Amino acid sequence: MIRYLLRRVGISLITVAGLALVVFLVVRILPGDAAAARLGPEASPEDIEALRAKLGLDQPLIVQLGDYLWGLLHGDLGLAVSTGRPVADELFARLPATIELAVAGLLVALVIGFPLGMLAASRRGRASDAIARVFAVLGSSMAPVWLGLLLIFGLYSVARIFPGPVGRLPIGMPPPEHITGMYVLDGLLTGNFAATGEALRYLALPALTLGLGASAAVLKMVRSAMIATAESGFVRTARAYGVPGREILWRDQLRNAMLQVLTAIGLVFGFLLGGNVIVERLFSWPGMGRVAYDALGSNDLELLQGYALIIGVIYIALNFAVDLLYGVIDPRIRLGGRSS
Amino acid sequence: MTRLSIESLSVEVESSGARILDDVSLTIGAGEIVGLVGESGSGKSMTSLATMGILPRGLRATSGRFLVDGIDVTDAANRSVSSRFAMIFQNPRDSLNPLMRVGAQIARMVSLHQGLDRKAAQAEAVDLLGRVHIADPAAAARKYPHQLSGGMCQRVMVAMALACRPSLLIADEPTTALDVTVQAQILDLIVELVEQTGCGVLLVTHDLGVVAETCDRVNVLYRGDLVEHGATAEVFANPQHEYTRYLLESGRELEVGDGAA
Ligand SMILES: Nc1ncnc2c1ncn2[C@@H]1O[C@H](COP(=O)(O)OP(=O)(O)O)[C@@H](O)[C@H]1O
Ligand SMILES: [Mg+2]
Repeated sequence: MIRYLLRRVGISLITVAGLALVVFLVVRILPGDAAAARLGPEASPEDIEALRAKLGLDQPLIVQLGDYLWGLLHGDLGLAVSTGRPVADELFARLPATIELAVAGLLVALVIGFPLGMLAASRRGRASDAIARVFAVLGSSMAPVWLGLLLIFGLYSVARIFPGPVGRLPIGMPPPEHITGMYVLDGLLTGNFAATGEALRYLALPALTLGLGASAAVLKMVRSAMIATAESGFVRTARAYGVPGREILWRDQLRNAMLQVLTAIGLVFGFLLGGNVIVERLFSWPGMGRVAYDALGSNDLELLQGYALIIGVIYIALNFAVDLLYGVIDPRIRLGGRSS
Repeated sequence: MTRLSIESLSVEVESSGARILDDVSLTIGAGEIVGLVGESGSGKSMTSLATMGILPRGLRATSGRFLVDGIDVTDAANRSVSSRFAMIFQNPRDSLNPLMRVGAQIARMVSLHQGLDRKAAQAEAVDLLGRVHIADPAAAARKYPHQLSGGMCQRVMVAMALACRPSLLIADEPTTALDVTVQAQILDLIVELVEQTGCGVLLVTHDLGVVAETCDRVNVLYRGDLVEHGATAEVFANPQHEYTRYLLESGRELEVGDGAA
């Protein structure tokens, strides 16, 4: 287990380093002069030269890389040109909103995808399986924008069940005292239940938009994992010896199916964190995806680079967490030993 | 005395109606080891699973009665619980839940079949591991399947079978996946178990050497048909059916080949 852990830590660190290198190179290799692009068409050659020197762009690439990595080690992601503030501040200030939305989206995806996947597996080949699979195809092929608009139209414009796409809280309502930056949680922690309630209402539609799409992926994975375990030797043994069906389902099938599903759930969560640029934009959700979207518009390479890096690091951290979980629940990893 | 009789068991594929087993009948006496041989795909495993009452999805028994000690148990919900049938399989490690300690897996069958509480069932599980000649059974009970060799896993499966106080043991190719030396040990264990408990055994195998050594009687299955049955010595000395003769001849060739290698 210790060796397994060290290996995972090592792999994660190497991946982070590789990621930093790729992000650095991609931005440098892009055609055009970064300094000129920043200052706009009106800038004089002297101004551009001065900025190049200030940004270190006149240095050899290897020196630039050294500076960049040195900065990273100190949590310095550079300055966001469009706002003049440090990139790290810009992004980390928005991280809680993004995490709150992604967690809510994941919960929606799991709550819908898991039982439907189990149902589809147990009714394989029958009508409910077919319906669940049609849902899966629809869910994974539907563009999030379209789904979001549909939900806004149905549940806000027409039914007035949820608030419109105006951010995290009603306009004018102060956020709960800052602890984690996630309003639902902060409201609970500070006893400000009104804020939690409102935050949940405002979270509902974007989370549904994100989660419905992802639930299709969860459904498919759970279905195939449950079918695979249903046909496994140990389930056959349990059936042969008359273990009650419900116990087989929960104790044998589901726990083993979880092993197959866990990796994919980590991926889905990573996707929800990094892939919700559109959804954040649609719901005026002030998360990191919003920052990245705006950075695209203002040509702010430093900010985009920081976004790519942070999302990448979160992805790697998630994978590491999933590997850790495997170490906890799978005795084959926890204890090692022979396995022929 | 006849412990189990299977009467005209037929199994077909639900979707296509293709026959997997056609009118198979056989009997197993108390304390008797009865062989079921046939080449791969002849229906040996389906006979076993149908007898346990757990045919895989997509297959269905269209006829057949099961009598245990003369009593019809065809309609029993689970013949392991109602008639104390037990079964061990070809791939012992795959037959065990990789996430549960083997002691707990045996204990669960003990509580299911003997109605003991958790603690007593755990103790009984350790006891059973001792009965299948596992050294330090208490330590073995705490292991997970991946920590045990294939032969050890099969012993665990036999211990699990014992947890049912079996009246009948179905062993579907119990040694096929194991090393040669371990094969003999597992077969010895099964023979010993029969002597101790007086249960009947249906020993499924494609290995005629195993049949010759352990089985009192043998049934030959060919493409879902039971083509020949009788006392092992008689069938081997004087095979009636062409397919049995073919099996015996290819078996001998194999043995000659093994000797040369
Ligand atoms: N689920 C299934 N659906 C359709 N055919 C099956 C299924 N399971 C087994 N069969 C067929 O039943 C026949 C007998 O299989 P089996 O009893 O496993 O053979 P054996 O154990 O003698 O090698 C084979 O031809 C196999 O292809
Ligand atoms: Mg078979």
